[in-house]
Amino acid sequence: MNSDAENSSNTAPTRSSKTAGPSSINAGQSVSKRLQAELMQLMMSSTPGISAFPQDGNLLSWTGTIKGPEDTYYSGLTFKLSLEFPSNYPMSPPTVLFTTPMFHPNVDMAGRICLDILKDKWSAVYNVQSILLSLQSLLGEPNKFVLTTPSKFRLVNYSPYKVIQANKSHSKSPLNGQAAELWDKDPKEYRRLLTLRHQQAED
Amino acid sequence: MSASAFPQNPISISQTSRQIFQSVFPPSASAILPTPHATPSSFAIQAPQTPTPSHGYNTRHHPNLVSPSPVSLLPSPAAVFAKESRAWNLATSYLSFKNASFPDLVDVWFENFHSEPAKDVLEAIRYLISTTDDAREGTRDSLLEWYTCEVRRHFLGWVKPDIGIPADYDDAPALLEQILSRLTTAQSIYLHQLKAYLVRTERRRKLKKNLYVPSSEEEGNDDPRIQSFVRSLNSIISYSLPDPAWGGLVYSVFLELCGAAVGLPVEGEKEDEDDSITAVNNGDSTIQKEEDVLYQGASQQSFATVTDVDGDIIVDDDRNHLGNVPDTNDSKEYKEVGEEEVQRRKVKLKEEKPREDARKKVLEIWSSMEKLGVGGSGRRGERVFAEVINSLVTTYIHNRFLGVWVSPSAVGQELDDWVEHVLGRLVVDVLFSSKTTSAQDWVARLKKLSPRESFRASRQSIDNRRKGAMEVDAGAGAEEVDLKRRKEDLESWKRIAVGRLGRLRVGELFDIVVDWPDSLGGVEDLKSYITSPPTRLHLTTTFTAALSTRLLHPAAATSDILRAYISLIRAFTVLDPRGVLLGRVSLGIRRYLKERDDTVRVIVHGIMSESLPSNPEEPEELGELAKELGRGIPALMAQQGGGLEELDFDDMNWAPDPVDAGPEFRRSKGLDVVGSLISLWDSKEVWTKEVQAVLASRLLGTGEWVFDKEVRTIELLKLRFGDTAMQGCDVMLKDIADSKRADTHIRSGGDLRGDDPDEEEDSPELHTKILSRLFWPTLKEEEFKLPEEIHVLQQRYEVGFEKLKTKRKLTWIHSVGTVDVELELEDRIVQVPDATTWQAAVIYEFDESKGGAEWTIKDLAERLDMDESLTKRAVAFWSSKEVLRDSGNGVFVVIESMAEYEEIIDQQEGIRGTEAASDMDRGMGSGMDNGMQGVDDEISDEKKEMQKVVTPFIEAMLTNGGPKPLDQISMVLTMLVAGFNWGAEELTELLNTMRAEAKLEYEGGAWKIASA
Repeated sequence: MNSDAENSSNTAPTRSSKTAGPSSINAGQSVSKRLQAELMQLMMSSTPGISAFPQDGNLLSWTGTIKGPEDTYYSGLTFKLSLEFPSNYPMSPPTVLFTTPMFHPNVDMAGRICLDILKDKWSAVYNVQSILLSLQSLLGEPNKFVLTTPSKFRLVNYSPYKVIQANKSHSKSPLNGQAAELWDKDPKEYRRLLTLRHQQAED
Repeated sequence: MSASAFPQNPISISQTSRQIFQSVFPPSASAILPTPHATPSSFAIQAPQTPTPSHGYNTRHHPNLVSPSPVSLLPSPAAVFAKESRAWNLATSYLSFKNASFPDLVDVWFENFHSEPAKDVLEAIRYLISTTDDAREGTRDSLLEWYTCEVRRHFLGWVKPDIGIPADYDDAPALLEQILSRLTTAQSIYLHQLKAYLVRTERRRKLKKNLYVPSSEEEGNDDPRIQSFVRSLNSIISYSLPDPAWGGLVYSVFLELCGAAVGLPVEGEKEDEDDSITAVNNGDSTIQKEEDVLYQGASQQSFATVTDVDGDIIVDDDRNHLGNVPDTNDSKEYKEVGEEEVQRRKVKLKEEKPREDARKKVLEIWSSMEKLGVGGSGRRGERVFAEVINSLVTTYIHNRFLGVWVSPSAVGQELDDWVEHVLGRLVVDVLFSSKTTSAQDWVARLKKLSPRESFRASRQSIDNRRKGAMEVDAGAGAEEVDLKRRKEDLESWKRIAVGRLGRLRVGELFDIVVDWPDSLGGVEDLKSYITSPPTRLHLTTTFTAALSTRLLHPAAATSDILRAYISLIRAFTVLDPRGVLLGRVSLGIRRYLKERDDTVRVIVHGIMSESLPSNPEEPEELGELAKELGRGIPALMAQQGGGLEELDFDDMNWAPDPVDAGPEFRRSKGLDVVGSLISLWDSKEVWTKEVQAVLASRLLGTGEWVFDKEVRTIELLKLRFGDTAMQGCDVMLKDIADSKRADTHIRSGGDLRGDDPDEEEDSPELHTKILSRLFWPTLKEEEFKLPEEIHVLQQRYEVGFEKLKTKRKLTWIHSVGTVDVELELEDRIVQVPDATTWQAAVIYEFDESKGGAEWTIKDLAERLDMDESLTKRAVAFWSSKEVLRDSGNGVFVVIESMAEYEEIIDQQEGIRGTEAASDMDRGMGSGMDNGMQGVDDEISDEKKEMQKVVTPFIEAMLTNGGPKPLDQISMVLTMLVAGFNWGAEELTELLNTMRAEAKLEYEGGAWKIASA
């Protein structure tokens, strides 16, 4: 794990390239500059419950930490994420994965996340902080994007999991069907499975 | 080696008598000449071909009996042969040398070893050489050649082993003398034999035991023979002196002697005049052909020097030429000059001038070497001598002038004189005593040789290691040309000497600059050196290197660097008024000064030192800057925009930039010291800020109200920076003036008097300086509680002020100001007229009437709401005034009586020893902390700021990246946080703080986020 950091400190005499790892040398200064600024902003704003930091000093690869929001299944738990920034960031969104085993309707077993702002709704105004905040809120409220789907799917009886069910055929199905199903149905079971998953991380 | 070629057969008596008879009454040659049986028969044919005898290595005359072809017309070969062989036998047996070393002195040899030849031997020799017949000529030459070989054999066998140079020798002069004397003895003996019997046998009778064979001028045809012999002998001698050792020996001896001769201090050893060299010299003169009585009487005075009206040295050579001096008038001149010289020398000798002795000795050695053929004329001796002279110039200059910087500098003149009269004389003496074995050479040399040529030749031989480099301009006969040339020579020698001096001065230029202005003379010397671009370049590069190694490093204090820079500016202004050199050498120092944080502060303190109270802690202040500023700006300062100057067509003094001026060279005629320093930074703000800070501390740090000096300094600074830049300072000064009026007014207004009239007597006076906050530098505020009395006074003062200036409020800055403290103790009164407010506040708490005479620092700090470190400093201050002492356990009490205190000290000394006691003296060493504390305070702001930034970084890093060891944290922070330059200590300090705040944990060598 040190190789990256060492490389970057050895081969990069100037500050701009020093802050970015070797993988980012081609990415130019704008990416590292932007990420540097984001890091500084994140550090100085100190939003409770979220945190992120470049992994081993490599600015293109960050580790994030989210605390589960209170009054949700996730309260009291912390989840780690990895954020990989493309070289054309912020034109393209970063690739975000949960590295802590997750039990959530919008997160599959490999930790991949289904969140619109990380996909087609990405905009350059988003930043690490807003991503992390979005993810934090996603924990409390699984994605309701279906509400914007065509009217024939509009549901009379609003319930997130039903919505997701209805969208199964449109590849907008929940990434974790079980979680989606249990979300409303069986909070106890949900919490049990979640804790079980989470414990895997700690083992 | 050749002895075996002439076996000496026994000869019967009858034969001998006949031989004698025949030699007295020589029969006709055709009748009786035999060929010696061992004599090569071919010589008769060869003889006409060799008018000058073949040199020593030619061994053609060795037996070559293949064709014994006797000369025709010899009627009785047998008789001739017999007679000749007898004569040959007699001659050779007499002339051959015994297989033994020669004694050291020629005289000894004559007395003990030399025997007058018997008559028959003389006859035999005479017979062999005395005829003019062609055939006899051959015989004579063959005898000469035999003699040459015999000498060689003997030399190689018996003399050479004596003159080996050991690898290690202690007494070089003695060794050299010994070698030379042995060689000269041998040479004299060889030559004596040659001349006495072989070449000039017919004159022998006149000689008796007189060694000094006068030269006979009528026999010019003998010269080639003797010269040839000498050459042959010399080549052997030269060959038997192996070079590295011999050269080294001569070098070391000459170096010492010449050194002494030119006035270098040397471990003086007075040599006995009657030493072997002199004797050898005497003996040696047997080879001289001059009949010069004077010379013989003073044979060691073989030189004469006259300085003519031009101050040039005209050297009249010694008369040791191997050959005839053609001009007898010259001889007379020599005599007269020589007599004077002898007289003079004698006087000098009596005075025992070691210099003269050494000089004489050099010449003696040199002439010995000359005679031995290892001296001048491009031979080894001359090369060595040139090397010696070369190093002498340097050594002399170093010894004489190193660190001599008296102004006005007489060094140049002194050096010139030295070169002209001492060195030049020695060189010319030595080189002129050179004589060559070649007739043409010495004739040319006899003319007054231009010293330049000899010197050039010497240099050439040094440079090129080339043999025979001595070029003699034989045509340089014309007196005027000659004089001119010698003048030029002296000039060029002087130039060389000046160059050496310049190099010396360049080498010590750094010290010269540091010692400025006591070293003015050194700079004056340099002026004559830096006349060409290479020397100027040499100066700048050398000096720049010296600067960077000796000055521009972290160990040098900024004030020292600045002082050096100021001296540098002054010295180089003298050295090179155009400022090119200054510009070049100051680049480095300016760049370095810019890097220093405290440069501005030191300069401004220096500039304003006139108005600052003299600071005993920093005696190194640059007070001279203030004087420099007081001198005002040089007139040309106004013209700084260089372009205008170039366009000034009326400037009759205009000159182009010096050739070695760089493209970026700006003529900076007007730059004085202060100007140069100020131009370190382009921005005026840097300076004005610092000036304001200094001014503020000055204005507030005293109870005075009148600041004339400050006003003057600020006015002077305005000249430099302009009015607008100095506006802030103007306001500050005006504030003080206004405050004075306001203060007077408020005080007279009566608001300060309390309601209780009794109170007044004891109550302190309060004066206030009212500052316009915007124009003053930010003052450091240390909050603490003022004593009640003062607080009351302040409130009353406020009331008064508000009456004076409505709608304005006073904000008190407690930490700034001075207090006149008077402490009444049991046995003494302590007065501190300019204590700071916090010091006063602290000591106030010790007032018995307030109830507390004992305080720990912590309690005090709490009580006063004062920063603990500040409290500590205040306590340390009073401890140093011997008002407070630590009674143990950090509890400070007032020292009421000195006697009591001393008792305690004594006790403690007894118990703890001096070290601890001296600690007590200094108030538990907190006096030492005093200075450190200030520094801490200064940097702590910056540090705190950085801590604020770094803390979330560390948290985030450890939250997301897991536990990390210290160095990794440090590395990541260095990468990600701009301006992070902490060392491990500072980071550890912060991490520990965070651990204390339960944010972090330290486990297994790594830091991690504390688990909740």
